[in-house]
Amino acid sequence: MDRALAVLSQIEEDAKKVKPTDVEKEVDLEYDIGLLLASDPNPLDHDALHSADRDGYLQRLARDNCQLLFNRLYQLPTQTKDDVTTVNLPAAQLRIPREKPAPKPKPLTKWEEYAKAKGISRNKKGKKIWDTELKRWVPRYGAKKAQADREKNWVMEVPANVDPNTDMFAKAAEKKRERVAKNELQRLRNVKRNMKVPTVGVTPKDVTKSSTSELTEAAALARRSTASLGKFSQRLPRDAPTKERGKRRQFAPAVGDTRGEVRGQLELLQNLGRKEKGAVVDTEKAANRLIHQEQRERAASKEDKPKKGGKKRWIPNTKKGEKQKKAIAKKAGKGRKGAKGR
Amino acid sequence: MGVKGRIEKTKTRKGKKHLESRAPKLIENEKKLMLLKGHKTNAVLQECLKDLASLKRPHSILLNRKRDLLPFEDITPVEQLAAKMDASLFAIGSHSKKRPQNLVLGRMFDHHLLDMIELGVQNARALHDFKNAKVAAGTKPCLLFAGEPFKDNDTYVRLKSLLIDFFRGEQATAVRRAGFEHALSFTASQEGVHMRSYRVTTQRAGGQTPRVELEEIGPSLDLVLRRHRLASDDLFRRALKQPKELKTKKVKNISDGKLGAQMGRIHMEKQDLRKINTRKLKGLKTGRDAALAAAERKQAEEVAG
Repeated sequence: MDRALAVLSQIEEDAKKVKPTDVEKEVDLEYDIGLLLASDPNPLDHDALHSADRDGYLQRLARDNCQLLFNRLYQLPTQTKDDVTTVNLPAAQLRIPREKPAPKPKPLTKWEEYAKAKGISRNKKGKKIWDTELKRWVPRYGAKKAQADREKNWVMEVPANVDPNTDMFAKAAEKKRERVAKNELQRLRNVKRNMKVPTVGVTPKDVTKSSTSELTEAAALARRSTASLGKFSQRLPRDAPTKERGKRRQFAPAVGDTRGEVRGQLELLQNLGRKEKGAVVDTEKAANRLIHQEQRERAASKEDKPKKGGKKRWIPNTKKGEKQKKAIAKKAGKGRKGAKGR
Repeated sequence: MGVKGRIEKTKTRKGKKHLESRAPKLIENEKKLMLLKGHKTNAVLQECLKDLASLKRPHSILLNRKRDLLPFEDITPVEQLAAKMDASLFAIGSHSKKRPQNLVLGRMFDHHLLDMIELGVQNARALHDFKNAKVAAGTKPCLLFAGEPFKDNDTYVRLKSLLIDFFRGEQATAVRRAGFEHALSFTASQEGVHMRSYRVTTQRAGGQTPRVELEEIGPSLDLVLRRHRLASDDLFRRALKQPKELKTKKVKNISDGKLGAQMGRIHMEKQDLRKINTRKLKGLKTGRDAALAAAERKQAEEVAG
C-alpha cells in the first residue's frame, strides 16, 4: 500500500516537472506548414504590450504560437535514414510572388522539329569510347580526345589520287575548321529563325538570295516610307496593288436591306430630336455656331466696302511714304491697263 | 530566348553556368537580399543592416558605400543595382531628421519594383547585444505572426507577404526534425510591428510532441510603418503566376485495387479494322493461291516444252 502510494506520488511529481505541450487559444491559428508559418488572429493583450515587460509578453506569445506550430509539425510523416529523422514538408499554400517571370519554352531548332515530327529520339551516348587501336577508353570529346587522335594519327597516308606533296595534316585541320564553321553557321541560323527580328527593310539584303515574299515586302516598305505614307508613290505597271493598311471603313451596300435602312434612318431622326442622353446634335451648340457665322458674315460684308478699293495699307506721311504711294499707284495702274491689253 | 539563343556563344562553361543561374527558371533560386546605405546612416541603423545581412547569409550582400538614394522619388538606381547583383530583395537604411532611422524594405519582379514599405526602426537591439549562442546560418526559421492588423489592414497584409518573402529561407521538401531551431515572431500592434528572433529548444514532454522553449538571440526591432508603394493588383497577379509545369498533374483512371494491385482504365479510340497492323504471314497473303497456281503452270509448260 505504501509502495503504491509512493509510486503514485512519484508520478504526480514527475507530471508536475514536465511542462504541458498544449496551449489554449480562443481562435485557432492559421498554419501554412510548407512555409513553417503560423498566424495568430487572436486579439493581443494591449496592457501587457504597453507595460514594462513588453518583451516578456512577446516571448510568451511567441512560445505559445511556436508550440502550436510544433504540435502540427510533429504530426507530419517522418522518415529515418542514417539516424536522422526527417519530416516531409507539404507545398506552401500561401502564394509568394516570383522574382522573375516563368521561363518561356525554348524554340526548337530545325533538326529538333524534324526529329519530333518523325519521332526520332535521342540515343544516350556514353562519355567514353573503347578505342581498339589504343586499347583504352578514350573520351568522346575534349582535349584528351584530341591527344588520343594525335597519338593515333602520328602518320597519315597520302592516297593515290592526290598530289604526293600535299600536307595531309593541314588538310585534316582545314576540314575540321570547315566543320566547326558549318556548325556555327547552322547555330546562328537557328538563332535567327527564333529571334523575330525584322529581316526586311532594316539591313541591306542580298537580292539574289531573298525570297519573293521578302522582296515584295521590301518594295512595299520602300513605297510606304514617304511623308504621305505611299499614297502618291508611283507604281510599276505589273506591280501588285498594295493591301489596304490601317483602319478600314465599312460602308453598307447601296441597294439591299431597305427595311434596315429605314430603321436606321428613323433611329437617326429620333436621336436628332433627343436633347439629353444619346443626343447626336447639341442644339445649343449648333444654334450658337449659326449665330456666330451670321455675325461674321455681317462683319465681313461691312468690311467689303473698303476691300473693294484694295488692301488698305498704312503709309506714313514722309518722303519714303510718298515714294511707296507712288509705287503702289503705278502697280495698280499697270494692272488695270494691262488687263485692257494695252 | 535563354542562354542557347544568344548570338555570341559563352566562351567558358563557368560563364554559361553563371548566365543560366540568373536566367528565369522553373524552380527559382533563393531570393538574394541587397542592403544599401543611404545618404546618411547612424550607428544603430548600420548595426541593423549588418544583422539583417547575417540573418540572410549567404543569400545577402551588404554594400558599404553610402549612396544618394531616394527610393520613393526615383527607384531606377536601385533597380539597376539589383539587376547587377541579381538580388530581388532590397533594404535601404538611411537616417535624417525628418525620417530618423529609416529602413525601406522592398522586392523586385523581373528587375522592376514590385513592393516597397518604409519602416522606422525604434528600440533596436543588435545581435551582439544578446550574449548567447546563436543559430547556424541557413536554418529555415519558423515564422510567427500575431495581431489583427495582419488580417484586416491591406498594408499590413502586404507587409506580412513581404516579411515572409524576406525570411522564409530555402524551399525545402524534407527537413531534419531536430533542425527547427530558429523562430522569428512579428507582432502587429497600433504602434507598428515588433520583430523578435528566438532560438528554439525542445524538452521531452509526456506526449509525442516536445515542450518548446524560446531564448531570444536578437536582433530585436520595433518597426513603425511610414510610407509605402505597393504593386497594383494586376502586376501582383502577374508576379504570382506559377508556370504550368509546376502544377501537380492529376492522375486519372488509375485506382488502387482491393488486393493491393493497381487497377487502371484504358479508353481506346475507334480503330479502322482494315488499317490495323497485324503480323504479316506470307501464307495468308491474298492472291497467293492464284500466283502459286500460275507459277506451277509455267513450270509445267517449261518442262513440257
